Amino acid sequence: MKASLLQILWRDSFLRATLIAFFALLIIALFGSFFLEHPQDQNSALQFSPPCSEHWLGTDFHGRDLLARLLSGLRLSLFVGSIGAGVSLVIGVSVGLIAGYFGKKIDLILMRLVDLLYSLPRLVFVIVLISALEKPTAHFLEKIHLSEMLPHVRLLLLFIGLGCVEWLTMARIVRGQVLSLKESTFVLAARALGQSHTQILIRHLLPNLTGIVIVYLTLTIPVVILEESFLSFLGLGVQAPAASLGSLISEGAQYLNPFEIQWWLILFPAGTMALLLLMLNLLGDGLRDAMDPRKKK
Amino acid sequence: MIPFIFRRLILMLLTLFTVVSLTFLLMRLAPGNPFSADRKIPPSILQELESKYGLSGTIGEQYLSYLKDVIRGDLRISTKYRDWSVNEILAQTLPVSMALGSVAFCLTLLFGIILGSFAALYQGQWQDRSLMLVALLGISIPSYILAPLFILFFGLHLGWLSVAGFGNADQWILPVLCLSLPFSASVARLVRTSLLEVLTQDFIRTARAKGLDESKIIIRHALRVALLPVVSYAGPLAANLLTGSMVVEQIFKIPGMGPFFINSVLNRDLFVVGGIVLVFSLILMSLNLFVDLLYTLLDRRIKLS
Amino acid sequence: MSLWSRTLFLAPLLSLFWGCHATSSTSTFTYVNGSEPESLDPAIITGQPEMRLVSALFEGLTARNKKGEIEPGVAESWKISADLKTIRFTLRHARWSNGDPITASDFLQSWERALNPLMASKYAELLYPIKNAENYNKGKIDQFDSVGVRVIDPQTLEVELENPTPFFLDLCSMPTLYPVHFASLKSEGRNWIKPGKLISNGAYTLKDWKIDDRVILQKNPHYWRASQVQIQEIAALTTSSATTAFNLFYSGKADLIMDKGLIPTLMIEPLRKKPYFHSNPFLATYFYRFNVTRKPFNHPKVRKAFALAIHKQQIVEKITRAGEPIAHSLTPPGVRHYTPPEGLPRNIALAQKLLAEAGYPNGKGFPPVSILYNSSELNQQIAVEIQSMWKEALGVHVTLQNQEWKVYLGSLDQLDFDIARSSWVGDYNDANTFLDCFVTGRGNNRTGWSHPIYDQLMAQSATEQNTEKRSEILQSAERILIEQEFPIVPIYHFVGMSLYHSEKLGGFEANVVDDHPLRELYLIEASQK
Repeated sequence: MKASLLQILWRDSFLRATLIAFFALLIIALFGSFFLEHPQDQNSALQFSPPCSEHWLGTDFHGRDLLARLLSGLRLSLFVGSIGAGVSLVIGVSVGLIAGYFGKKIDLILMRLVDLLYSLPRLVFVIVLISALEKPTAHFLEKIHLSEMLPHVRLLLLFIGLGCVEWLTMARIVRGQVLSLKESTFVLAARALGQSHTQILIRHLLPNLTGIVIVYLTLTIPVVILEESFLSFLGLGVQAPAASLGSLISEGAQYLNPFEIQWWLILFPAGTMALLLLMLNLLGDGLRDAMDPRKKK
Repeated sequence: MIPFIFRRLILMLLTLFTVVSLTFLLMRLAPGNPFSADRKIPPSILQELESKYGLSGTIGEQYLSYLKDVIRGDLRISTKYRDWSVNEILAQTLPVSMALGSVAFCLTLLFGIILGSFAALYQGQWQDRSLMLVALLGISIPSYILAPLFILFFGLHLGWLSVAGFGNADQWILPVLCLSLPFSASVARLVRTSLLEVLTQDFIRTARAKGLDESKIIIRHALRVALLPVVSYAGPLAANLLTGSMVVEQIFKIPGMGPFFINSVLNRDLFVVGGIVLVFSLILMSLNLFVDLLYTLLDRRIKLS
Repeated sequence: MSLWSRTLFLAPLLSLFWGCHATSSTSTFTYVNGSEPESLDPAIITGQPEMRLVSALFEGLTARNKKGEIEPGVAESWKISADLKTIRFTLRHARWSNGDPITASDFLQSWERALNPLMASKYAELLYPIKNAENYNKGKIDQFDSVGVRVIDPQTLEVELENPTPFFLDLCSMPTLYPVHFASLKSEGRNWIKPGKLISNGAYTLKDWKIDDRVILQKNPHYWRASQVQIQEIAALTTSSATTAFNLFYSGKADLIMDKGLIPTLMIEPLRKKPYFHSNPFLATYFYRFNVTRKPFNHPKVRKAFALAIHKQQIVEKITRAGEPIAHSLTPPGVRHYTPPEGLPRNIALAQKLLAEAGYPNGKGFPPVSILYNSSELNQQIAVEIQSMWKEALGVHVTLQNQEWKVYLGSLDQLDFDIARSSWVGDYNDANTFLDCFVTGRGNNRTGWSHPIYDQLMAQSATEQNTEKRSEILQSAERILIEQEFPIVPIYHFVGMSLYHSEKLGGFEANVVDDHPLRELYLIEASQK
């Protein structure tokens, strides 16, 4: 199924270019840091050096190399995006599967719940959640001897919080698919053969959902990245000195002043963010369109 | 219809109850005392303050007495802004947020529909491609970067528009734009997709066969049907605008509920947080109910015609 | 005062004779005040933005002038007894904004109100120098009669102090000791503080208060020196964002920013070169606390090693950048009747030696510790910088931990931290406001540190009547704090910063308490007309 998705993307020349660019970005994000001379050096004597041959993208307030910061920020954003989207995937697919497959009362209740959550200010709850649970979670981690996890408490809460608010669309889509698949011959056959519900769900329905799930996963990642950046702006995102694209941008936005603008601190992070989201959205859209049966002529 | 509305209203009440309870408990269990300050407060005074604000006793007792007050419509007194009750704070900040939000809401739909139709009209051509690319870019640029850029350029550099505050016309433009532009992009994409789908349908073919002008077809016939998904997007849009307005209100120093909310969460001002969450949820749920009713009405009319 | 400014000073006075229309039509003066005032009730407030407004609305027995000095307020004069323990204030015939006379019993009742445990005033301890005030506030005595405040007649108030308190007259200028109007408090209940209802006795009255937007003050015609108050209407804008504050000033929407917190730290470098940037040293210190109750900072040598390894110069040059003096003592220079000890300069070799002596040569085996700070750009930048200094000098890697304000305060109070960022702003111009914090068991100690000799010296200083001797005692106490024991490391002393065009605004003077009363301000253009 994955191969065929890639094939779909490969057919359109524009999407092919996007795909190649995306993988290039991914590889740079993952391995770029190995080739840097000053990964996380800090030297405030080099404060605000503009881009030069030594520091390709310039340096920041503490004299840190922006390229290195940007790469680690990109990595972190992608990480938060994929894990957050992953959490939403697990919740969304389970809810969608259960609602679609069992139907009736369960379906009604679950879908009402989805409708209801759609209508609530969800990010508001994430804000309350992060702010309320940070310290208790840290203490809990200490208690179960996971002290090395402590600097990542925020991240953990971000995954959970953002994952918990972004599963709604996934649930609706999966339910819709399951509703139509449920009546298909192979499911009816499996049921006639006396397979259990779990078996049918996992063996027969789930594999047929992979395509659509991947599409919406691709579309959820940018949403989660954007939401993390929003929380970073409000000071509730990742913790310093770690950086995400969002925290780099909101840091850079503070350098916008009418006297002297350290333009590299705002242009490069914002550009990277826009590029990343653009590519993810383009790929997601392309896949969705390509998989839409109505579009196949 | 009436039992439907009735059921929805009951559901709304239940949700509000859950929302208020969850907020109260989370905020109360969160570390950090609403009364702590730079200078340490003697324990006796802290106790006095807690009992004064109904925050002494077990958490259960506190919760029940708070719930009773909320049901009576008394959202209590802010623990930080001690001269104001939450009702008074909401009375001052809610209208501001509502004004900003509703203008941005209408503008978002207007921009989105116009751009989306335009793109659909030129489907596949360069106008369409570039518009959609711009729209995607618009979705990808968060308002907290758009806003300082706008302020720097239009406010400080050119000096055309006001950089902060709310009330005068020149104070409205930038915040409304920053708030609505990213979402207009989403609406435009939605409109385009839905229009293109409608344009393949039979009644459009009939209209075309009659020799009507393509733009007239879109405006007179197709758009009416194609806007249905936009109507159902109104609920999520309102929710997005609401979170977006937190940032925009903060950057532009607009005295609405958004910045108040964030500050109150950080200050552990639990009654203000409770009140704002209550109002947020109430607004969004009522809007959703309204949208659903509108949708059924429109859907029926479209089916009938 | 020069001749020129004296004529300026007289201009509005003259215009009063020519008729009220001319003066009341002068335009509003706008300044950025800071975050939303928590309250305007003198007994409740704690923050600077609130104090600025409240001291324009109310006036105590004494008042601070633009130089930061204490001058007579509602009290016309006072007499201090030979043992320095009794002060008799003579009140002038001043009036409330509704015309009611202000009497000595207004003060008595207001102080009783502020000390009443039910009021839960966070700054009630400013009244503790008064005899039995602390006992009354803590509920140890029920009767206010035994507290050392007496009304002799409507114009005379007598205060009996627990100990000689050289800074008591300073305290009289603080909001907690302001009088409030009891008649309206009784008739209006909780709403007495709302615009249109508030009866005040200061230079201004409360015209309007829009939440999170602005507070508007209007000149109080009943103020006893109303003729000297020049600006008719003041709009105090609310914002806690330095960028917004700066944008407002830069685009001409605000005439004055007088809070260092409202000037974007990142812009200080270019801003310092502008003619509208003004700065002044002021009585406040940025410092780090060590939690001495747990390992490894229970060891004085470790604390001293960490303290000596900080390159303070680099922090003020690269990060704060507003010309802050580096701090080797907690008490800033410029405190009245006091010279702080020199402290110890940076010494990496000694720091390394001390750390090795404490059992961690080159930082080997050092337990994981973190720097706690409340979320703010500046705190974070300083923490990041100090983190790398310690790594470089001592080989110790500390982690950073930021918490929101309230959580951070909770952690401090529960001593749930290793190293924590802090600052202290002097409440009044005396070394006591700084040094008293570290007496055993004080609420603001927040380090768990306790030192019998220090406590003894502080107690001794409280009863010492000779200024010079008192200064010496305080000095030896401070030496224990910052040359021997290091429960804290002072990093730098703040400078007050303000933005205004000096050709347009007068009456604003640099002073060490960074207090700039609104009633002293005047607009130059308006006066020249």
